[in-house]
Amino acid sequence: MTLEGKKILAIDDTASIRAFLRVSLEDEGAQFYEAATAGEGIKLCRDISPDLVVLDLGLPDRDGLEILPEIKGMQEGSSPAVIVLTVRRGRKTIHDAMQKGADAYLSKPFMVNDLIDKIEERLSTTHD
Amino acid sequence: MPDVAKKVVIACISAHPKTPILLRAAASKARDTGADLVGLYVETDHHQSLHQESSDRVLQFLSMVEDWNGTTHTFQHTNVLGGILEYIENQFEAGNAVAHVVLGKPNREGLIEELRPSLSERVVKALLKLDTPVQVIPLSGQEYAPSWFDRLQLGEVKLKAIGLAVLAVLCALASVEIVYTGLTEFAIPFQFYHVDAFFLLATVIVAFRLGLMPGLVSSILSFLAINYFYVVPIHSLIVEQPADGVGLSVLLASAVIISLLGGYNNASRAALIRKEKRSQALYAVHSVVSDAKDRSSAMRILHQELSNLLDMDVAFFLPGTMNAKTVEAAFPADLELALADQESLQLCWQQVRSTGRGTNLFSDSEWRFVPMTTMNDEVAVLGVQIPEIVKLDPSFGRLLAALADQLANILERFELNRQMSESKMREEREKLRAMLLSSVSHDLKTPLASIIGSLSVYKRMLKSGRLKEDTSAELTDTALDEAQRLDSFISNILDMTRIESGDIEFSLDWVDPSDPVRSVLKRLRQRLKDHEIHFTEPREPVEVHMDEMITEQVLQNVIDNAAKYTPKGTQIDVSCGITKDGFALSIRDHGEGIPEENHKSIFDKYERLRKTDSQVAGTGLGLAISKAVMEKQGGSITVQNHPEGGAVFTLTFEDYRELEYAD
Repeated sequence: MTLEGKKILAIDDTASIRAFLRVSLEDEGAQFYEAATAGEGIKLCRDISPDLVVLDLGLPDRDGLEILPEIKGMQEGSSPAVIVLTVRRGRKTIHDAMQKGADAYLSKPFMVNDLIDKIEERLSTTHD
Repeated sequence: MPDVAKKVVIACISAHPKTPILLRAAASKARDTGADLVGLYVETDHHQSLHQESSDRVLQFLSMVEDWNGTTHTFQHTNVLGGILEYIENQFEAGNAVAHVVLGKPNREGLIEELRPSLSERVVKALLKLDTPVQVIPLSGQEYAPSWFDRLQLGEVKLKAIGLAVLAVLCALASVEIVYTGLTEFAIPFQFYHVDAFFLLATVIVAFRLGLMPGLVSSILSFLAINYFYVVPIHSLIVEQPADGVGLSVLLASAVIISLLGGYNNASRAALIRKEKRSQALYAVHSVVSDAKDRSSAMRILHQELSNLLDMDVAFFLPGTMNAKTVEAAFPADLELALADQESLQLCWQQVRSTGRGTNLFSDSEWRFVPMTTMNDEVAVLGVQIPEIVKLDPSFGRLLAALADQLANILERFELNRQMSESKMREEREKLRAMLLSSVSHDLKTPLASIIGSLSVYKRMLKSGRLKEDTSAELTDTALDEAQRLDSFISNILDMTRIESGDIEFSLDWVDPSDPVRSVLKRLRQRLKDHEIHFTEPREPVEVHMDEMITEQVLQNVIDNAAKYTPKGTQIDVSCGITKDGFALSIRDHGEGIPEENHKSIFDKYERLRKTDSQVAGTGLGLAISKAVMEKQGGSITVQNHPEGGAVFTLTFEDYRELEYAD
């Protein structure tokens, strides 16, 4: 239960991905929140102030890269860690995401172990 | 000099701007005979005084030969003829066979130029002695340079004009008699030298109206008439008084001068008219094609306009493929030529020279063919059908040559435009291909991400010993669903590829249209369990020409979509019947309908690629495939919104037959 009490928000339009993220992150003890669109994601982000956001770049209403700075700059003091998920593999996308404040990057498809490793790594550096 | 004996075709290069035509002819000759192409430029002292532009052109032509895998030689000699001959002799000495010599003959004007044998004539004469075949290519296509003699139009005298000249003299005679009789009545003295004036007037009119020859005829007749009727002794051609002799001589001289002036005036006027007509045609070709959208419409318009303007049938012939050895009728496309005319046409194309009526090849034909050349190449052949009764004037050849060149430039311009837009289209296709690839990889990776993600969660939780039964089922269900989605997506892509490459074979048969509907509804029963299905069978017994299996797949796709995208508990209506377009199968749902701007794009496999990668729902290609297969079996699929709500997909089949009622 390494993620006990951590608030994690997943913004991804694919329901089955949100589903397995919920199963595994809740199993790790996290409080899991999910959003299928950028709009929902931002709203939820504001409401719950998550510790970490798992952000898919290809969202139906707005591009993930576009809302990334908003998520990062939303809270006073500490901003949530953001792990970007996408099927885009281009060097430029990775560069842009990092530039805009992403803390880590994972390309789809991925093993959940890798994601959890990255989440733990981020949360231990930013909060513990 | 080459070491091994070989066959060569020599192209004699000059600074003439149209030399590429000659090079092209030489290259095709070399290709045909399996000989090597040699571009020869004889550099004389004259070369130093050439205009910069001209000497640049020579270099350009030499490199053109090299582009066509030929070799080039610049040979220094005091004169061109000597240079060519010496070069050929060198070839012979090296043991090479000179298969052909190709040289150009620029057109020349002026009395003196016409009298001097041209370089090409001298080369031909010299080479005939050496037994070497020569091909002379007229470089401007103007074999009709009018001569000094032509300009006086002596060759065009009509019998009618001579008759009119005689009549004019008779009128002068009659006038003199009437005036003489009248004046005698009133006892007014009439001097015989007044007679001259009447006859000179007749000659002036004849010469200026009818030209030189009729003028001369009337001069001589006037002279004879005065001598016979009015000079003593009357009624004989003898002149007794020296003064009468002088008078008559002056009269004759004046009449001849008047005739010459009149004739020249007449000729210039005719030349002006011809020039006018020519410039009209040349002007017309540019203005009329300004409306043309492509080469074929330009040819259609030009055919019409020129046929009108020239009073002759005009046709265009284009090479069938790139660098084709033959040309075929391009407009009018259904033109049929006699065998000799076909030969004449191909000769015109291959040798880049005018053939047919008015030339020295196939001159007894009604057709005349003129090569259409631009600065770069010979692009087409212009054919003109000249009616037997039309008399060709010397400038006609020139008019045609000028027209042909103008037209060639116009056609080339259209061709260049087409090539440019084609390359643009290619670019666009490449872009779409790249988009398709990226979209396909997205569509493949999204379900894979779910599968790998779910299974990796399963494994992790299994390892930690915290995997409960319901979680396990949820994870494996997700993985399975996504795997099936992936499978159907891959099948769809394969289907699309097979349809596009024509690999799918359709087995069309007469089918009762209710059969595929019933079979699909049965197959989808599970997926349709939350919807209310209404199927209305056709009112009359009917059979539709279709591939039943493929139609079932289209129906399955459309009905499945209707269920997927509408709320549970709503109704789906399937109905069919005969419409004005054919037999129609309609599937109506009671959902929100589809925005009108998407009614076309939902069938376009590329359309969704233009959106961001996330906006893809389902496997996407289903409707594009449905459209492709419906079209392959001679039908169509369209979508509309029902006035009372919901989307209506309509499958239309062109071929159907109503059945007679069985008793």
